[in-house]
Amino acid sequence: MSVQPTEQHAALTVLLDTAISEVQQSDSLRSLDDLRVKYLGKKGQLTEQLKQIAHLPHELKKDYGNAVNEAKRCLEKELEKSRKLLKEKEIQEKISAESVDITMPERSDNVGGLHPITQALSRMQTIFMRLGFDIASGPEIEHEYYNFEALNIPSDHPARAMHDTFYVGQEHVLRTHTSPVQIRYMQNSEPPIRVIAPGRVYRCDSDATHTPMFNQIEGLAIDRDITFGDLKGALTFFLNEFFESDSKIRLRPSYFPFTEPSAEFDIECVFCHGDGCKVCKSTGWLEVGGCGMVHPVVLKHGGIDSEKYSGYAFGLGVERLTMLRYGINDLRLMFENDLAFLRQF
Amino acid sequence: MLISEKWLREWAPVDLTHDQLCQQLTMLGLEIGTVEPAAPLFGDKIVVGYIEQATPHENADRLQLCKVNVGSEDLLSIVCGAKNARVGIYVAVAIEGAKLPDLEVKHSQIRGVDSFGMLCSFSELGLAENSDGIAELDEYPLGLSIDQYFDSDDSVLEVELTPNRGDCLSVLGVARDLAAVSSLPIPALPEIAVGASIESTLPIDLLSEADCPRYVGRCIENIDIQAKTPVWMTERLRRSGLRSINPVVDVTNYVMLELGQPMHAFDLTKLQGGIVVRRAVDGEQLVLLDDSTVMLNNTNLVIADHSKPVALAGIMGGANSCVDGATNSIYLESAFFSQNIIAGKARELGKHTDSSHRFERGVDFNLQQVAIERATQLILEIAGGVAGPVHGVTSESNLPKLEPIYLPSSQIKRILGIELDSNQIISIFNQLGMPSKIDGDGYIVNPPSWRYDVRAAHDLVEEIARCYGLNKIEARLPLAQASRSQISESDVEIDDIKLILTRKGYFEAINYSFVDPNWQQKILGHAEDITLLNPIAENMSVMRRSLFPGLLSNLQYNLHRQQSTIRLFEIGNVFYLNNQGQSDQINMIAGVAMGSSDALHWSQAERVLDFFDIKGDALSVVDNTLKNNIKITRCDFPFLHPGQSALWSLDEETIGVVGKIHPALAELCDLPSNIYMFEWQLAPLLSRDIPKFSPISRFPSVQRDLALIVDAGLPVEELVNSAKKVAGELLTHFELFDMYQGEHIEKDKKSLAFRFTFQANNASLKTEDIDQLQAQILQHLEHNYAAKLRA
Repeated sequence: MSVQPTEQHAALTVLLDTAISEVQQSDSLRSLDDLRVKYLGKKGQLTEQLKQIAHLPHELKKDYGNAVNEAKRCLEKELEKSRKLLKEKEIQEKISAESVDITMPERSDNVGGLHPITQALSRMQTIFMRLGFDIASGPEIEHEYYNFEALNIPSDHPARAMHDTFYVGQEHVLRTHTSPVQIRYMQNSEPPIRVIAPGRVYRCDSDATHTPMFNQIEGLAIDRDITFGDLKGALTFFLNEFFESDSKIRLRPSYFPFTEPSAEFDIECVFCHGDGCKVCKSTGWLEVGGCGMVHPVVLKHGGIDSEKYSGYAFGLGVERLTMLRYGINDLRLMFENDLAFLRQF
Repeated sequence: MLISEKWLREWAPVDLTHDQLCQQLTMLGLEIGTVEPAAPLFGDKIVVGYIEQATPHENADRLQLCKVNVGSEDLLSIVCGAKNARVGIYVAVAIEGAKLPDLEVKHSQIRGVDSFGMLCSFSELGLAENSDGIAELDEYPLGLSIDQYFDSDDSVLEVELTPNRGDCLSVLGVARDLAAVSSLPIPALPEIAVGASIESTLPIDLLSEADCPRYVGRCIENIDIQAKTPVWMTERLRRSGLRSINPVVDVTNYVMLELGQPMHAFDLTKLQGGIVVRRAVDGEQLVLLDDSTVMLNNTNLVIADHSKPVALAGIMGGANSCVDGATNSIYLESAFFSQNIIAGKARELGKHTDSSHRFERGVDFNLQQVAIERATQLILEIAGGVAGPVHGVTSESNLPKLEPIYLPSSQIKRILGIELDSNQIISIFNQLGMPSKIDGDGYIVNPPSWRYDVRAAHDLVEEIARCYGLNKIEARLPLAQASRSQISESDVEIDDIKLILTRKGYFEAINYSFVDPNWQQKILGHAEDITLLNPIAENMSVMRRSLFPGLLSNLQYNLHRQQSTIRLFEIGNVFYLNNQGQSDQINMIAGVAMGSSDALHWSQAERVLDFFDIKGDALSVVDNTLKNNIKITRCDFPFLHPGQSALWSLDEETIGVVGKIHPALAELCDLPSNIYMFEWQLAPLLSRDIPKFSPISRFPSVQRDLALIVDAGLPVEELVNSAKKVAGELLTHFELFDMYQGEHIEKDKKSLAFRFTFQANNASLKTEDIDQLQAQILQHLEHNYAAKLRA
């Protein structure tokens, strides 16, 4: 049965329309709250309509009640809709008010950096430690005995001329290589020995490719049955790890009084892979150090029986390897400590 | 050593290309450094010519018009400005199209006269640095190229010899090694015997037999010292880096280069009586060929005649007996001086010569006779003259002993890790001129007289490795053995310390360990420096006593490069004299800083870094364990600001310093006054306690803020320590969050605001307990330091 609209119904519709229109025009959450009170509060206008039901004829009561409730639901829905919209708007406003230029510089700590030599040295040490090498060090002002005699370089030996030694007194020199650490280490330990000794060394020489101070890593391995093949294996492993390459290495016979046979070793140019380029001066090879089997006289000075044990030793030029690794083309930059240089590493 | 490739190939006719030859020598241990063309090549554009006519230029006083025969029908007309251009000389003629280093020769008109070429000087030919006039050539077929004349198609190899290979300081020596690995016969010494046509000899007194086991001499009379050394010889000398002087000197040099025997020629008429080989008398003086005077002592060996020393044996001749332009007769010396008597002496006297270089590395003691015959032959060929008999004295017992060496086969495998066939080994030794044979489980090898570096079995192993080829030896990959680490968890890694400082904005510097003594003294004050006896420069002549001098000069360097915020640190040894007066080293870490405290940022005002920044930076590398054990006190180092500097000590020993640069020092060194620096001994920083867990309190903590007014001069640390003592274990934490001086506070007072945090392990603290504790603390501070609670 359908109920015809009554006057009440018409008034209710007008009231609801007015309320909805007011809600829709509301521009703040607060005015929405006011409207809720105005229409749906205890004494709200729609709430009041419910109270009117009592005065209606019985047959209309239910119908009108339903209509009022429907109107309330409708208004509540509208209120909720507006509330959501306004909330949304409020958040949007908050967001746009708080919005920043994300391209502006961040807040950051001062960050410095390690010298490239340190970075390279640290990698070198890690590689050798993986091969079971310990790390040792020795004095930089060294007794002549350890720097020369113990290493089979007697005084007046022409090999001393290779060293351009700085003298500190009658018996002391600035060590010309890290090899004295070999002797000191051998004297204080028993084979098997696997040790590297990084450190500063000094030669009285200064030009575009020589600085009077530079860094070396000395390596020493002594055990039963250590052969030249082991030396090649260790150096190949090291160089390929350091340069993250699979380059060939080449050994050229040479002479150091403390090793025999002695060799200088080259790695296939890591820039041109042996084709020849500026860095390797078109030779395809880069010289990186000297090495050899420890001379029996040196073993003897280290207190080691050369009949029982053999060993190899090598010396790597740290600056050279650092420059090759990072493409540094001027040795002198290494010790100027120019921030423009240091910041690059 | 420089060596002509063609000359070398004459002695060792190897079938190798230029590149292969260089590679082969390098792989033998005779490293080839630079390789240069022996001379520029001009093809057929510069030829030998002969000046037929020379007439004055019609329009110029200093020019001549030369008619030059270059082997073709027509004579070439060439205008020449050289004074020595004259009829009857052979010249180098650059014809049209010739490209000289600086110009291309074209037909030209010179002051109205046609010129169809150019007469060249030695420098224009690239054969001399500078030269006077045009080159005068020896008689030679006209029209043949200059390249042929000078035998220019050759390379000069720089052999970088190691000091053990004295035997390779000659063409013969290098050829011997090359032949050995090329299956060529061992290069033989020339067999020459120039007969005596006069009887002149000089008596030889060998007074110092150990120093000179063999002395061989010969008189040659009636030579023409003005004779011209032939171009083939001057060119070989030039390619070896020697200048032509006169035929006698040229020949002695040539023989040295060819065979390795240093020789000397005296003017025979300047010698009195005979030759005496003896030690110098202390204080004896000798003027050498280079006009310098050397003061000798009895460690020097001299050659003397019967009245005076005439040469510093094996090093340099004396001026009083030298061959000069008037020399007519000479006395040739070919001696064997021991390594010991020469080694070090030349350098000691500052007279390093080609001769001393060879003697101190060892000269073949069987070479003297051959060398003197070879030199005689060449001198007679070039300068004429008549030779006397060769006269020599030898002390056999003092000659080096050549003992056969026994090499056990096992040693080869043990050292090289390879196994070689015995025939292969015997063949290597034989090719090297070391006759050898199998003997049981090894080899008996006879070292040759020229190899001073082959004396023991390990030397032979090296020879095998070298000749077999180091690169043929298989690499054996390392197997790391598990071994106990030497590094404990309680060791602090230096690299970790470095990283901490980089996170604080510091860049790592590496400085030379030697510094400028004046700079060091300015900064650190006067103290005894460890001085280098032979510094490379005055400003690198003393060992650093601290890392500050280096870092401060780095700072200055960077300031000059427009840097305004600078933080640098360094780790390295510094050097000092210990109690025994011995030089010693100690590892230090130091930092210097100036500029902004934080990276500049748009959100905040710039703050200039101050004492408390550097103090924080310094302490950032100190582990908590150590921090609790070190004591800070004021510092009176003269280079630091007395009001802003401090020392840290551990067990009464100073281990660290921090502070601002002293204003007076900043002024003295032209440095800004806002530099801060710190330095620690590194060793104490390298150990720490391994962390040990303690139970976490489950009970809430309570914070109380307390502002106290105390005397301005009261050290905060003292106050805090005192408070801590009273508070006991319940005080777990405190912070100084404000310090105020100024308005509302009495003039010589300061207000300190602390936040104390209290917590108990076993219970919730009650307000009354805290109140009571706080009151106790206050009362104590009031009593001891007249501290008042700020209203």
